[in-house]
Amino acid sequence: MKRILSAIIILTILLTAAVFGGCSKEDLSDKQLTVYCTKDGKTEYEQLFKYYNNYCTANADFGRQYQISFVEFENEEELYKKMTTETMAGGGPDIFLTAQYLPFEKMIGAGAFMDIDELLERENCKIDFSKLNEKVMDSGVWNGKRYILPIVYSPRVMITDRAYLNGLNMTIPEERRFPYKNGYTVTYSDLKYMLKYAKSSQLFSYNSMQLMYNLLYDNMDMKEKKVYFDTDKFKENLETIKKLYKYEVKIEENTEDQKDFFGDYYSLFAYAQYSFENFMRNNLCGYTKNNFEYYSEKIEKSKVLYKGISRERNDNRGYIDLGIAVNKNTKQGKKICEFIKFSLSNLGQSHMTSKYNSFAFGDSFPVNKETFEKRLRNAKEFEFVGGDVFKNHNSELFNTYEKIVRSVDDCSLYNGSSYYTTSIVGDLIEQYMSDKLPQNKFIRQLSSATKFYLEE
Amino acid sequence: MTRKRRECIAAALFLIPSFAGILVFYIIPYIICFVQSLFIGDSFVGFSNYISLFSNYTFTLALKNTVIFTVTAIPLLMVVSFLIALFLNSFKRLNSFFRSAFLIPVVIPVASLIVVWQVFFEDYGAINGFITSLGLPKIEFFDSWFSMLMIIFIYVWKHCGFCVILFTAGLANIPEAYIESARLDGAGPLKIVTRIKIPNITPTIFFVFLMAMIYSFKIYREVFALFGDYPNEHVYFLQNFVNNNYYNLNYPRLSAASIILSVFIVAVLFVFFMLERKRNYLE
Repeated sequence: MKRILSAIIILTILLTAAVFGGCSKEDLSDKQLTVYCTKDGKTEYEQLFKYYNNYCTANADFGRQYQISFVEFENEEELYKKMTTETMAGGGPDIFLTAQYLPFEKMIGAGAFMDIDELLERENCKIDFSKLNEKVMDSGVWNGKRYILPIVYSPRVMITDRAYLNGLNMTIPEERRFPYKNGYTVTYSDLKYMLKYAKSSQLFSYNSMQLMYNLLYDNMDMKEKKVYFDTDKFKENLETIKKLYKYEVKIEENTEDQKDFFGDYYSLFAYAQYSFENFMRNNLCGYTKNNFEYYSEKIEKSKVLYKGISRERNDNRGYIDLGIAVNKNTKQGKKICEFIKFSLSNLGQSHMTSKYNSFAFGDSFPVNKETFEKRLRNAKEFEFVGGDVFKNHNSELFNTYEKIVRSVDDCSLYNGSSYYTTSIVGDLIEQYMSDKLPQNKFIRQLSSATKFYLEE
Repeated sequence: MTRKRRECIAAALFLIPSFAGILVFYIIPYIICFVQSLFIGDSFVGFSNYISLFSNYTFTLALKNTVIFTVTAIPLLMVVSFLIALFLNSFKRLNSFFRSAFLIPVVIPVASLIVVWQVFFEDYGAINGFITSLGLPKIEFFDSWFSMLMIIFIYVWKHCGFCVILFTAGLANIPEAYIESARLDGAGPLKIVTRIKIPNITPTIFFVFLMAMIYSFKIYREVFALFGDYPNEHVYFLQNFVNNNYYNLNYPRLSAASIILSVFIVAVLFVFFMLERKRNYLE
């Protein structure tokens, strides 16, 4: 009798726990939208969400429950584990940000994201996509469905100084020289010749690893699951980037060279990816002054803006700086729609790309056409005070910049490192760059791993 | 209520928590996994995940490699360990030393073993050093079909010791009288092995087969340590496929592949138990 009684007690406890465990029904009316981030990463998005949260508080129709809250994690690894496990179990954050370390291309295939067009239609939320940059917005469409919604984007632009280039006295044959022509697209092949004839100390301010990653993105089609690594052109470009990488390593290792690290080095090219206002205001001037120390006095006339570095001469590929994806498990469709509406609105986009904003994507370009034009107007109206550079907003340089930004015809999901380049082929790249893997083997293994990754 | 009946009820009640555990942690997740394999996102797609799996290059490759490995490595392991056990059984003085020696690979951590095998198999490793010294071309063990041979070799080498112990224990249990009388009847060594020893250790053979099967599914550890998440196409196994799909969050495909893998294992075990039952029945 005693045994039966104890068995009944154990069973009762188990049953009670099981029954009450399933009883609580989540009340979503008071629940805020969630975004997962690391403690460090939070600062990147804080500005954006803080502004939106204030907007919600001020808007009588919304209120606190429409706000976005952060779920913080110590580091990327913990964030990734938690986010993926929860999403697999039917939970996870409501919104994913493309700047997060996630295999977006795989998650799309796995049906982890909602089709945003479908969501907007279901929630009866009207967004006029013709008022947005169609080419950039199309970058988020996979198999006819809008899984990624680009919010801001960036072009690939570089700046150089023709006076400085002349001063370097490189022995590049005339036909191989870059034309000092604004808007010229620099390809990987151009780099090859530059490296061939330049001295090792005449370097580029271009991170070779980032170039390598972009070369991989340029030679694969994530949407179609195809790779184009086994071509002569790819092999040639690979060798060029490796050479560039070697130069960088040499500079880091050679103390004699290091003294010039902030002087003559980094002179052929510099990044020039700034918002229109910041281009005019100070950033580009400040940056180029630092990098073109000798030539700061004659700055405007001798500067040249290039597009690239691209695979083909007619490419003008940018990248999505910030985009969002919606978790398919979310039950907060209406609130998400409001957030999307705000993010793409003139108000939201103006805030994100504001010149006074410390938001991490403040140098990016809005996808909203009206905001884009407004930003451009503001830049042109900007009066430069206390200097003689860039005061002419009608300068060829600025016009070229505008043209390059306007003509971005496609955007890659990533710029630089991503889940694919780090977790999938990171070790292979490292081995190849450090000469532990010959090129043919590297390409074979790279193709195989990428193919597996895309097709799995 | 009789005492026996009361005891039965008590036993059943005590067993229920255990069954509940199996239900909650095994059966229900399995059912959820199956249900998930019928969906992509929120939309029901029926068996299309299964159909698409079989038209997926990586899955068919993984399946092919797993089958090749299983049908090659398991019989090889069993034959090699049986022959070693036979040898040790004939030299009883050496038996204990060799049994301990053969067990060493089983107890050494995989990571340490891999470091050793890398030294042997890499492009400029010991084996290639020997091969090139003979004037033969170098073998790329990490980037050719030799990868499969290398993995089979490592598998046999690592698990051989344990199987040898099981076989020697089985062989030691055969009554000496059977062998003596067979010898008196004029049976040679081969006949003694095939007609006396093997039939008498059939339960051991089944057990070794079962263990070899379990070990074969664990070979992923060695493959991962040697080649990483994405090995070359010759040693890309089902476990790689399942594991990578887990990390890449492809749950519908992962669920479908897991169900197929589990069905495959259950089918093999079913055949195995049927054979064992048939043998018991014949006995």
